[in-house]
Amino acid sequence: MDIKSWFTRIKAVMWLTFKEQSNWTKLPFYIAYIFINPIFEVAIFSYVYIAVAYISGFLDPTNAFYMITGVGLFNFIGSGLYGIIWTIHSEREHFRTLKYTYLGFPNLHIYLTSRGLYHYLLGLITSTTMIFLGLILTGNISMLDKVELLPIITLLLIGVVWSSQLGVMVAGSSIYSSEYGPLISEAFGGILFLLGAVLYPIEALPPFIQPLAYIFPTIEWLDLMRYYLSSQFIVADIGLLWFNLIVKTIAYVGVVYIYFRIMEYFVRRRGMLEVTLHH
Amino acid sequence: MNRIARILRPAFARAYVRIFGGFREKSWLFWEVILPTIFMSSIIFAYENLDAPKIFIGFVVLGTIMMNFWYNVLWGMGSVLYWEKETGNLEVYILTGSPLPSLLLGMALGGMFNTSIRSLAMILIGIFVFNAEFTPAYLPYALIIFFLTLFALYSMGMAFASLHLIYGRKGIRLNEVMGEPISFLSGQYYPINIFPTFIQSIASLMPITIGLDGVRRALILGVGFESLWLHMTLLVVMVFILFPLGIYIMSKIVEKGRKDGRLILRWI
Repeated sequence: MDIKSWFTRIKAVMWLTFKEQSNWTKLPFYIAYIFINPIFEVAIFSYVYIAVAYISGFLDPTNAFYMITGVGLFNFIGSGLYGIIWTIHSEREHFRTLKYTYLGFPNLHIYLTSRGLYHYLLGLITSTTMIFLGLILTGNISMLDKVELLPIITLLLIGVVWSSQLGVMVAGSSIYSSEYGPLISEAFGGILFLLGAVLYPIEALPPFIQPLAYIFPTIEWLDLMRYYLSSQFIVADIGLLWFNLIVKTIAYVGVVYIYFRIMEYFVRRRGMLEVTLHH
Repeated sequence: MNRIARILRPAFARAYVRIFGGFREKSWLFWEVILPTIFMSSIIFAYENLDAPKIFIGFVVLGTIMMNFWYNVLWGMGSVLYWEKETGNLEVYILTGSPLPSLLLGMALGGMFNTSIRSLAMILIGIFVFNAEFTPAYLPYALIIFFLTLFALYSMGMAFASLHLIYGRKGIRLNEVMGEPISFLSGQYYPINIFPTFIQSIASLMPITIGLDGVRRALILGVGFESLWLHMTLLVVMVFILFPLGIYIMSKIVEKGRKDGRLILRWI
């Protein structure tokens, strides 16, 4: 396998993503554009916390930290995930270039993952901003008293692996259906947000939904990230969390590889690669 | 054909297409109710985890519903002329001789109807699944405020739609950044009286903030006309400003677009 060629291809795809995302305006406007939604999103959740504190008169810094880090870190995962999933929809419906991509790039699975990498980079910057801003707004910046960089960077890389593969899995389903593609991506993001221990521990969910939450690695990933950001965030068994996260990540990589190959096979056989909504 | 009929007939024709298009694929209807509900559920569980008072559940349900209308204004009305241009329908519309505002009126009516059906389903989910509590005593006031808000919002939508004719892809990006900021300022999930005064002042310039606050007061806090007259007055004033402004902006931009030859220019 020619590693150098692959790096060149991946770099080219990341550049393409940047141009596609930004060429509608000048760079300063684009930078403002990428920050607006994340900043207001974290402001919304900060005020969800502030509203309750304001009315009940009771402050709970642990809950504020949980919510703000959850929303900020989910933004990182979500940026890449949506970036990958929407590639299929935008290239097929809007630009009508999916067929050329399929012919021009040696591997659609790697192409989709590469399209996500640019979004993960953006997500890293915006998520960091969100966490700082949210904790300042809620008056809990002192919760960030640990910040162990090495495990955090390792976790970010693992996060890219499992979430990008989740994205490829959903994109694989999306190739199969132009009618339901956008709905599938929205639904998937929503379900991950609901079940992923983003705003609350999964014990806050109704008991019959809780087992579903363990399907995704989000719980372990977010709890580990929180653990390495603050000494005040306690976890029961750090080793078990790492073990579960790594096992789930490996499982996702394997399952998604097979799933995507199967979907790709059926899509080609049925000639559905370019079936847009107009059909 | 008299002037009113010339406006209303194409409007009803466009609304007909939109309404029947919205119900063409039944499963879409299901998903369009379920998707916002999933997100709404997350916020409700977050409030329950924070031991928030029960009225917050009603706040979230009504906030989510009102924001659905805002998203419909942005994506179902604002950006539609852009997509009509991209698919080649816009020139056909303009050549028919029907006034463009009546086309937008049709989209607004169709969009309101479709979103109302979905919103009704979400209210039922809020009541029966999450035990949201509403006070029906002041429902007529809530409905007056609700429809005034829609009128003002869709008038804004008319102005947005015309901006899309000029700005093309920039308009789509503008839509993308009009979600979270408006959700934040309108108090989608919380009452806006928790904001500092200057943010409250900015937020009060938007019809959705006034409308949402009024509907919440009527249906959740159970207050009557004595506390709602100001909301109604402000919304009436907004309608009187935004509706003619929307028509004016649209006519100016179409005129400019024709002069510059940009009306059917794609991928700008």
